[in-house]
Amino acid sequence: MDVEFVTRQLLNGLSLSVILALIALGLSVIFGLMRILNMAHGEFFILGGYGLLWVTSLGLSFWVGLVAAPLAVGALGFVLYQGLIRRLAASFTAALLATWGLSIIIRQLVQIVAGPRPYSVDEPFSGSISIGSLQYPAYRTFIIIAGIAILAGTVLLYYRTSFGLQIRAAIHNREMAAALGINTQRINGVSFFVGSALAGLAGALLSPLIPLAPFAGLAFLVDSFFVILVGGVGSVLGTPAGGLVIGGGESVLQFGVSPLMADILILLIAVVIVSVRPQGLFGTR
Amino acid sequence: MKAHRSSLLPLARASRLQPAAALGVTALALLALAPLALSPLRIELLATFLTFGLVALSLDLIWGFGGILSMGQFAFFGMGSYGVALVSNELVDLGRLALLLGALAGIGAAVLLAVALSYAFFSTSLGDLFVLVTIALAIILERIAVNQTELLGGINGILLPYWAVPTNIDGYYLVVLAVVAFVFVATTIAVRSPFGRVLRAIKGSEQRAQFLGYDTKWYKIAAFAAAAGIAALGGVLYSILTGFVFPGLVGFEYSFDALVWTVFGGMGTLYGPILGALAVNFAKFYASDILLDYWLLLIGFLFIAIVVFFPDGLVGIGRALRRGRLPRRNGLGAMRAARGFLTARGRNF
Amino acid sequence: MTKLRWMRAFVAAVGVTLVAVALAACGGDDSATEDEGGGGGEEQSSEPIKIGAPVDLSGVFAVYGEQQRQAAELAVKEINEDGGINGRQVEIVFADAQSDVQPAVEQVKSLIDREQVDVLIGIVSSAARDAVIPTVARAEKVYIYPTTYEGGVAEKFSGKGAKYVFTTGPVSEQYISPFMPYLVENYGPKVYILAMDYIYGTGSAEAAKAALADAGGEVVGEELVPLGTTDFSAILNRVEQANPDVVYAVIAGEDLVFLMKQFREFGLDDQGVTFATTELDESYFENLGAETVAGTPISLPYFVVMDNEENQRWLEAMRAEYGEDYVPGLAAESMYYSVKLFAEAAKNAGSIEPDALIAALEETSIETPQGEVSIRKEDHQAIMGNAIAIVEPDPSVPPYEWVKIQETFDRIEPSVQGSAE
Repeated sequence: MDVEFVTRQLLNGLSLSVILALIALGLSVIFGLMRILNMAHGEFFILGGYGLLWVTSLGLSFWVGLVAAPLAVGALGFVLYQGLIRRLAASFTAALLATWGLSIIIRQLVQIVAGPRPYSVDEPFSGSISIGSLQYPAYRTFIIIAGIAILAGTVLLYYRTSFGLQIRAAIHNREMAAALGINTQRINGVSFFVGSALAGLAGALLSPLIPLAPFAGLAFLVDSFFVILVGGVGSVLGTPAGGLVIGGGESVLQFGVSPLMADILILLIAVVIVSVRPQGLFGTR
Repeated sequence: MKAHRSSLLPLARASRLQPAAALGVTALALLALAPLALSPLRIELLATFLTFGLVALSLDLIWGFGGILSMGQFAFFGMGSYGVALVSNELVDLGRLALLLGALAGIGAAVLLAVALSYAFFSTSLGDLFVLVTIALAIILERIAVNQTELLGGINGILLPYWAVPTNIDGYYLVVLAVVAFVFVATTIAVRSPFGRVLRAIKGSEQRAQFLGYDTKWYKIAAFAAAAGIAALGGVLYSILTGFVFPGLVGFEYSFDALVWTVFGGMGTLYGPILGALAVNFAKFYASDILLDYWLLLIGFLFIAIVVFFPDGLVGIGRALRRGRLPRRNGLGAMRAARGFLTARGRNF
Repeated sequence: MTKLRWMRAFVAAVGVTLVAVALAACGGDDSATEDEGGGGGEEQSSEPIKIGAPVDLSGVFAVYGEQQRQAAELAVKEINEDGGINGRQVEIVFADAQSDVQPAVEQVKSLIDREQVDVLIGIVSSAARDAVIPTVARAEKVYIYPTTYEGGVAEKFSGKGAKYVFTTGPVSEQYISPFMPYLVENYGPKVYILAMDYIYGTGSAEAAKAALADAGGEVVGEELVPLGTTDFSAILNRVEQANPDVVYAVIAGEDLVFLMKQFREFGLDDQGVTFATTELDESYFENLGAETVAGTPISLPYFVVMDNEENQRWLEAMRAEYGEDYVPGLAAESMYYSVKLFAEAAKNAGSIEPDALIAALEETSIETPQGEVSIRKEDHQAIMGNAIAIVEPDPSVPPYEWVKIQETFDRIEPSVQGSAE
């Protein structure tokens, strides 16, 4: 078992964790605030990728797309929240069904507009960097670094700013927070914007590495459920931790056991963690 | 005063029940007469979707009444289906008896698995996050089904022997209808029984039920096992009707669809989810006929529309007609309805 | 109070009954039971012949379904312009199989009962195919399955409907067995096999091993990879340690994209290991990029660059219909010739009555964009040729032209797939 191989595995796990955390963050905060599961969240992820694709097809640079696509997706998320989801937020099942309907519509629209065939975005830069004796793809390294930076920024925002404090208060006890004068509607809206934008960013970041197809978002959605349950629902610190467990576990386990067993083990580990610590790694009860 | 009221109660309940029961009997009669009016294809679809309705009903039982979300009910449905498929192919000489044995095996396995899982997880302090277990169950079982080509048919699934599939579709439809009606009546009685009342109390607040002296774990296990058995029964009926089983039947996608049917139809009613299963599946069938390229858009809008106008689902239509107006989305009432997913904070309003 | 409730219940019951009657009535013309068996048989010379095409227009196979639809529409158009079949025009009705088994069966039943189609052509998923065969057999309709598949259909359904089923797509054995000798000869005898862990992959791996044994090759490693694997590092590490000459991959779709990219990232090609596959077609080139696909040996029955009259004509026709940039895939091409095969057989038989049609199909062979395709009578399997090519990227031409054909075979006969009676 050479060091190179293990390092590569760990780095792969890290990049997957970062992506999962970015996606799951929005889902987690929205659930913490509004107690609803946004089933269209996976579509925000894929729209980020398609958005980047479209921007680059217009001739603009990858970096423009990397900024523009998440913002556009965030805006879309906000609009959907204002227009529809806000009215249904009182009922978990209503929001579930409505957002699922939305996700069906978005998927189908993507297929109608862009076609069912998978697209690919070019990496903005190729080549590899040397980590010791290991050659690791440069773009993947960028994903790790950028992802960690964004996550760190989000965590800082959450724990160090007054707005973050308001969100935390609202998650902890919504009624009290409203009673204290916190504008919970505005917080919901902004969180929806940010959460969707983060998912879109994940999609844009990942787009050079995965084939972009209308259905690509669904697999990440299910993984996100696990991430937020393991990390602790509504916990911004917990979500990256959950991402680490799920993403890291998936990568690391694959080299010891068959990939099928690895998947089963990861699910079992998640289940064990959650039964031992039901609020998740960082959740509060 | 109390004595007076409690003696009046059964009477009041009975009279409230009878008109509803009459409506139910009418519906059942109409459904039973359907073969006279509908084409064989439609009857076959109706029968198939009724088996899906059983899964939806099972989900309503465990979630609508028990407060335990299961995103893996089709795992049990699939176990029932595969049980029949495997045994009937193995014990060909036994003919129809093999179907019965397969049904018992599949349903039995489903119930046992349900008991084992729920015992393991409800014994710890938290069954709320049990949803994770159910998702994992569906995903893992589907992977295994795809993987095991020799044992379980792999990705192609298994075809039942030709003699297993009924040729008299109308007759089989009536059998399915009878089973569904029976299960509906049985579960309705169960939820109105003392057992059912405790279950609903647990859904409201498990802690409170525990303080009242109930061993909530066993009630939940029983409900989950019953739900598993009902779903598996649906699977048995399905595989005999269609003659095939495939890995998707145990998987997460179909399990999530069951959730959609249940919510669409109306939770907490036991008949709503059956209607939901019928409505959604027929809607998909006819929509794809009318709008070959855009039918999914139609379905998506349908989901949004039902939720916007009738948040209680299809059953809300009935209530709205009775009241003469559209249901108002009452914030407080709806919030109460939303309780029961991931966390009970012990607050008591 | 109670009386009011009863009244309301009564009104509701009447209402429900009325609604039910209405629903039943508006579909009352579904009755097709009488026409089932002999429907297609008796010639009504002015009535069009109806082809039922269950294709995946939504879901994960939508890519193939779309290709199949486009190709089938063109085929039907050409047939009609040519005078139709036996003097009758041809109509094609599409239904969305939704990449799922239950909807596929529903739609096939709908096509048979409501649309009263005379023949069925389509479907991608093997599970869906197996599920619909009993239905088409009971309805006594010929069913043509045009997709690449794992084989064995005739055997599975022998005596139970195989008579009506024609598998016009290639069995993986067909393009694997000529490929192995080529690899051994040109790259070396040590081969590491990676195959998707389900029947198509395992069946292909078996075919590859048999062919390698005959060709003097050596299997230095074999791995079954679960569907949906995105991280091949562990696998590639083991490959590296086995030090093969060739990695032969029966991995498709997204998984193949990940595998090939990671193969290059790993630097295995620099170590002299060649990546060969039978699942790579022109549609992947753009996604993967020139660097990733350069030098890959591939083997398939059809490539867009094939240089024959029929292919040129067909490409022109498809481009006229669907745009200058249109690049067909194997799915489109096999659907196209499957429809044409049906038409040819129907013309030869002079009828579309099932038994006559079956007999005719068993004897029919036509020129297709990939060369001659004929049906083997024993197992209703299409016999076709094959081509081996190497991908040589060239920025000055569109990606599908990167395929440089090295060897062609006119006719490859895979092992008999069973008895189609």
